[in-house]
Amino acid sequence: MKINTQVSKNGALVVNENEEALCSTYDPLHEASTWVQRIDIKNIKQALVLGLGAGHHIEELLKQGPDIKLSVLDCRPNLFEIFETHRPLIADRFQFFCIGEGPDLDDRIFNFVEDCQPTVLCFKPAWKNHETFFSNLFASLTFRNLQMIEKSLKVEIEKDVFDTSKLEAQKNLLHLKNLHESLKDFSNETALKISVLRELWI
Amino acid sequence: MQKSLLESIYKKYPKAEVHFLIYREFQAVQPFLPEVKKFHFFERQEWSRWVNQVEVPLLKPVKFLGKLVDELNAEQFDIVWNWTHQKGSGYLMELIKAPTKVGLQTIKGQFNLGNSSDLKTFNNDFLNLDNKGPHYLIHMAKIFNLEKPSPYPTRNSLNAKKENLICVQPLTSDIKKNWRLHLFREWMKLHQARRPQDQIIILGSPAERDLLEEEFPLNSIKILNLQDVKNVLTHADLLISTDTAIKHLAAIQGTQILELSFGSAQPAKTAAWVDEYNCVIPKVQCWPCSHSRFCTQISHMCSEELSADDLNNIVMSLIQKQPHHKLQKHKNDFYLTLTSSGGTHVERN
Repeated sequence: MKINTQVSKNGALVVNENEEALCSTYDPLHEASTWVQRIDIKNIKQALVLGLGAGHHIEELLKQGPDIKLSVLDCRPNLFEIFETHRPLIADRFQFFCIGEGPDLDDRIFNFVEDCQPTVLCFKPAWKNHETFFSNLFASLTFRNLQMIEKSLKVEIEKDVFDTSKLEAQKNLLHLKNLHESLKDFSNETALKISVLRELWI
Repeated sequence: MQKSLLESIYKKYPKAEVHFLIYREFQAVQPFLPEVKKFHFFERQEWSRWVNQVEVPLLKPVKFLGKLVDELNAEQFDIVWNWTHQKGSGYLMELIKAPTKVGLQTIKGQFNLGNSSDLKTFNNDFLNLDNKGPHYLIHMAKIFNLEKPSPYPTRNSLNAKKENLICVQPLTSDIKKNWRLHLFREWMKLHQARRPQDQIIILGSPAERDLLEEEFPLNSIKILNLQDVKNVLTHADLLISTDTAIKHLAAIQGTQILELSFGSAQPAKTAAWVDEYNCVIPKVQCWPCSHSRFCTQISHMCSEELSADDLNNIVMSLIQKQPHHKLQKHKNDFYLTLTSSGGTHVERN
């Protein structure tokens, strides 16, 4: 992994990994601003951004949503060092998680997501060279895979609240509807809560 | 609407501390219910957004609902009444711990109406798409074993010999319950030509501003919050409204009401709780329709046959205090029905 920096055509910082730019090389500031504009900022209290890149999108997000509790996750520790060097005044305004590319999510991140339930935002230009890793991470952090559901609802799974064969047969777990369709014991508290919320997707 | 039922609770349990669980988007009602000690909020809009956004953790709404359930159970309620009749509330009833729970609820995840014939009757009436009574408040008083609430007295201040203040709430949250805005405008012109001394105010919410400004003179429109609407209604002689919450607010203020009941409105069940209720109801076969479905007709037949001229005649009849029988028939298939003693009965021809 070789990280270096350059300047974009309009004079902004660009970070490369193995010669691949992790943001626009033409106008990264415009790219960051466009990315933030697409986010429903007013309805987000806590966010976790996947991909630090050159950090322009983080700076813009902190500017547009100063009250958002922000965390950033990446697998390249050098990126945060570059961010700190270029933006020493705002580097302490978010929490940085650096995790390895192993198949399992470490407990520190799992507990953080369980406790804080952040909205998970994807800055895809910074995913270069690691697209599959970030893509799988997104599914895990939003609990849209069986492994995370089993971890989060361990007690309910053990108590047979869900029909596990139905759960495993679901093509994907994109929606609470998929969990509701796999319920077996409707008297369980979690099952009742999912049933209460059912009116929200009809 | 249920404010009067709240009064019945305090008659039966004078030392009770009553809490309400309501949707967050209705929090503006708090100043109108000073009898309620504490409000708890179901974050329907926020949780609905979360449920449908892929970037939000799948179980986040479940966890936050859990926090609400914990908050409710920490209160250690003696009695929980379910005043709604939605499935979701039935499951929520099971999650709340209390020695006595009355109204729609599940037991072990299954709906159970128990031995209460009143609840079964209410359930059947709730499911029936008709405009037959009794009024929901009568049902609820029976189910919850409370005294039948007294209807709010109407001021009856409409008078042909004075300048009347007429408020109009033209829009609802559901397009099938609306009457066309240009017809309201046409009626307004007819009325002003006949009674220029009367003042007409068009009420609306901020979200309705653009639609109203396209149709009505700007100086007739008042975009108000609930508190300000209440203040205006205190002085109003008549409210003309489609099926909205504003009619219930007018009832509390004693304002005379004329409801235009289109679409899924069922005034026999949900009229404002007043001693004298005026209501225009359509006679088309598809009325009343389902609350949760779109209109099934090519156009909104139920509201189309009422003309501005019809409304003008009805309003003039009210101002001139004509006897009921003269008001009962109007051209086409519309009827104006006046009800009394609780507003629970709507006559049908």
